[in-house]
Amino acid sequence: MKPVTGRPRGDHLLYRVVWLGALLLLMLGFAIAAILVWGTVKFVIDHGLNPSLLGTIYQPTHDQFGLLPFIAGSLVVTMIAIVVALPLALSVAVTVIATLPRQMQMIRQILSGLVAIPSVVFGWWGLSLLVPSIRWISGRPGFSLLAGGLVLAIMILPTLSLLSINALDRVSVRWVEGSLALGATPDQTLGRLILSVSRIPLLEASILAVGRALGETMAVQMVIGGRVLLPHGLLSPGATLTTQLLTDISLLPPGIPGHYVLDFMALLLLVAMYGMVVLVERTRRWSL
Amino acid sequence: MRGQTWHRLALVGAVLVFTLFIAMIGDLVWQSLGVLSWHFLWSPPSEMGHGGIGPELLNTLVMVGIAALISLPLGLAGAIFRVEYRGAPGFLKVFDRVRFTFLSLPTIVIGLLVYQWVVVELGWPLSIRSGIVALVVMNWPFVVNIGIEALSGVPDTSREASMALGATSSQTLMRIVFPSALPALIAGLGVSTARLLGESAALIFTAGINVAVHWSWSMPGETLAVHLWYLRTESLAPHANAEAAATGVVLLGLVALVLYLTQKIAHWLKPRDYSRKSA
Amino acid sequence: MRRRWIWAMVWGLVLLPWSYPAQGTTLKPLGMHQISIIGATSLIPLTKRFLPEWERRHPGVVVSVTAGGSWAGILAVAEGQADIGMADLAPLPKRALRLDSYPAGRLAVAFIANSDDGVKNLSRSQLVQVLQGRIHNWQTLGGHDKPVIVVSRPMSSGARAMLDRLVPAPGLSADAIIQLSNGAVLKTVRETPGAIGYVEWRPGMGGVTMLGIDHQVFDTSRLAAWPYYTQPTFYVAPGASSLVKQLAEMLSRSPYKAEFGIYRAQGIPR
Repeated sequence: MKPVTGRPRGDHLLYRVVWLGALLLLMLGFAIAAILVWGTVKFVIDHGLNPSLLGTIYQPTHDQFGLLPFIAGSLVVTMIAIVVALPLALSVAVTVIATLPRQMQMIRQILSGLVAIPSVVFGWWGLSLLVPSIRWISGRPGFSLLAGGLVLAIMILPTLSLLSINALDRVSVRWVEGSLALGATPDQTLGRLILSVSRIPLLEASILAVGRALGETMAVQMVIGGRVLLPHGLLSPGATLTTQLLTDISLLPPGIPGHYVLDFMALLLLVAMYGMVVLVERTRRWSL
Repeated sequence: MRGQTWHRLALVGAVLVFTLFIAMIGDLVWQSLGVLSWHFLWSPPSEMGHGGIGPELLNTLVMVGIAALISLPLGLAGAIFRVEYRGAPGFLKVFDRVRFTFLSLPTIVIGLLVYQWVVVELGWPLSIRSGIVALVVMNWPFVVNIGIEALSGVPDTSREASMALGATSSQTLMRIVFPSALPALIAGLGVSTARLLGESAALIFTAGINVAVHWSWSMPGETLAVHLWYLRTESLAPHANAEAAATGVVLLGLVALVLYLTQKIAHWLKPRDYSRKSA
Repeated sequence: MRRRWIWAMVWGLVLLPWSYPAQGTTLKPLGMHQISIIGATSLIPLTKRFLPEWERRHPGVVVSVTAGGSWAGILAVAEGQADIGMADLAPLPKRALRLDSYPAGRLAVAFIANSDDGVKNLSRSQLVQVLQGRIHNWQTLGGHDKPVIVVSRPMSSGARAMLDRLVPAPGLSADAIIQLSNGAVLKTVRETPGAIGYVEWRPGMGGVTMLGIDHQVFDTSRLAAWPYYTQPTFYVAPGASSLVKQLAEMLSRSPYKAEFGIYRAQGIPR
């Protein structure tokens, strides 16, 4: 081995470079927030504190900016996704932990492969199979919040399963053995020990999955139908904040009155994501 | 055995999930069989049928490759600072919040912002280069995350041992920390590249939805994922649905290839560790 | 040994894109002339069909085409963000009035219904009521027992603008499913029983019922007699270069117009 002949000057340079890199990321992050806030301020300047914002009528070319249908759409779709995906992901995790512990590594690899499936592929699948099935069963158009939610549920399944396996895997084997030795049935051990001990990591996993579902655009746009009224049921077509952004970037290019409503919608999404980050931080603090 | 009801239910659920994914991928492959051929991979798309995805494949490879290369040093710098130098606790808190929020930002929002900055303010065309900007912005926080996880995986004892032997912090980083973190780093980069391959929302309004005859940086850069969306929802070309499925198969193949290669490389790099010699 | 393999793989990945021989694609250096076209989805196939041969005749020029709808097309040209805007919008927004226009002809707007609806003809007032969302079941109009589902385009579309003029207040049913393009509307109507929609017609659109209006059948051999149409036009800023103007002119006179259903308006000599 060569003798070490370094000089602190190199250290200083390295420090400067990585410091700059970290600073750039921070600046970009703040710039994004600032631009969206500035866009929202311009929206208020252009349209005043538009009372229609809290309404349900969305006609941006006629000064009607009711965003409630999209907020409702986003929430409903995300709820469906997490309600459907969580039990299934827990099933996968429980099966892997309890029944197939030896195959855990392999199943983890398969799942992390599935995580990388592009969202448009899920959209393709929703459009080819899910929408016609819902139409066939319900007699409604098929394009619906339900279809959007189910597509999202399938999309977040691999991520959620993987995180759930990690969460359950952290429970000490000794505790499980102890519980069984004391005469608890496997079900009782599962319910009162394993799931109850790992509820905080599971909550964190769910928040991450909700974040992914809330931010998805393409897969939802392909199956949700784009209707701009307040949805009146799970089978009704609707729109989410993200899909409406996609639809309206071409209707409201910069320079058009009403363009800044897009910044406002994006800001809402940004704030939602920030809220989730803070929530995850909180849950981590609880688990300590 | 008594008291296994929930376990059985879970087994049913797990089988259901895996059947679902097998059925989904199987269906995709099945529907693509009619059009998937070498001709399809090579020729330009056509509105009149019998088109291919040649230029889209080229665009995807170039845009994702370059975006990954640009965001790598940017992200690594942030990660090294976060793990090796840390900074004040208040700074750390802000930094972590910003990076996590940035990471979970919907890609359509990134698309909107890059459209406003690059296309409208700077006047760049909807093109490959604008698309690369969108991909870099999207990938940056992801790479920071990967870097942080890889670097934190290196035990502090290694750093302390290196410093105790008289190495400077940059030497410790380059010769001790980096080599041990490399396998995790490469595996993580594979995941981030796979994510870029499948991106579409951020690209529709930055890279456009068509391809031109001449290849250039300023040419519109439809990627495979965008093309799949276009084919399945808008195109009136005959066999558009089968072509969409075939595009999906090619896309999945690329994703699988990237994940496989990076994992393989990560695996090969691992045994070079000193831990094996000591064992 | 292992290290060499790894490097080979890395270089392979880096070099792969550059060795890719996509047919009909030529590599061009930086700094060439750039023309951008943006606008109506109904005109994109025509433009895409015509461009390759024009580009081959002008090797120094790259043309990019982007969808976005008529509205975005006109505004992008008015704001100087694009060179040529494709639009079939009327009335024009105020800031588009000073643009140079190159009309391409007319594009018929056909009203289409799913083949299961059981209705082949509507009176104009029936059509308006259906589109307003006031008729909820096809049975009311003598069709099958299927709920009416209106499929529409977003407000950025020229066909939607034409429809908004046709349908008086309160306007098009807000209950409608919105699809982003002509093709998506056609596919949705084809696959959804009970659906009705409107498309800018081009040859090859099949699998749906072309509705007759007031007993006038939608006859593709006599498009000029059909009263519902848009006027696709290419817009250019007055100060644009002669190359851009030439391209817009060529596009508007493209010999492939008939392939995409664009026909000459009667009495106009072009």
